[in-house]
Amino acid sequence: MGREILGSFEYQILAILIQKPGDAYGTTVRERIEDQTGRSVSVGALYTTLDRLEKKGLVSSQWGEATPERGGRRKRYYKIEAAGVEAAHRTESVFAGFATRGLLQAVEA
Amino acid sequence: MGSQSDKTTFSKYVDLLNARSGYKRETTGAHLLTKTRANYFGAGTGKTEADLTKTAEIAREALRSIERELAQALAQITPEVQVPRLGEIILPYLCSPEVSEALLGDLDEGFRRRTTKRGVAAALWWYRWQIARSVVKFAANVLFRVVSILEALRKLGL
Repeated sequence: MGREILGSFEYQILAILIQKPGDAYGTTVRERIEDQTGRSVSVGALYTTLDRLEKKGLVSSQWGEATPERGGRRKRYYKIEAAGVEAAHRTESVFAGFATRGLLQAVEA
Repeated sequence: MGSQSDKTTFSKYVDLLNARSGYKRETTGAHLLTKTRANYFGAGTGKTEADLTKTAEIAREALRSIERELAQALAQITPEVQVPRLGEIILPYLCSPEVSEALLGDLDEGFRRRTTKRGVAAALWWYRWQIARSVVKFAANVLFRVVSILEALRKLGL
């Protein structure tokens, strides 16, 4: 588990949590990913992934305040853990390696 | 006092109000709008600058009054938007209570924001689409877990 390479969506979520650590709950994370990727994100996919990341120990969460706008339901705030930062950087370097090799092959061809 | 500039601004304002009001115009300040136009534009010929200034002030006050009327009418016409209960019914069966609470809260929040920004129809479409995608995602997860357990049992020879 410690040396695991993240999936693309997992990586995007961790990157958002690194970029803007405060006020990171479902809606804000989803909106930021949508803004940056231009892709629609389903709340189900987001929470499934956040749940998985939490079980892996890469993020932690805590309950926030309930608001009328949310029908009296509480927000769940997410925070990236040290293991999450490490996993994100590791994944980034693997992706970068792929990109470099791809470029080199393209240049050689 | 630039009367032409005022007239243009006023005209743009009236056009904006017309465009924004749409169906509201029938139920609210159509008569006021007509009267205001007559007051303002009728004052243009053979009147002094002071008259025009006064008329412009009257027109502004009339516009403010229209705005108030529009706001009141909008409050009466727009029903209290109810968030659909579809998610509340389905999602608790597919995910944990913690995930369910956070997710349903996000859906409520998203629905209300979209209702304000894009209207009820767009918000409803978004909500249902989110529920459909979430159901597929959670159902696939449940199925994956069941298959994994069965696979593990098979490997153990049970």
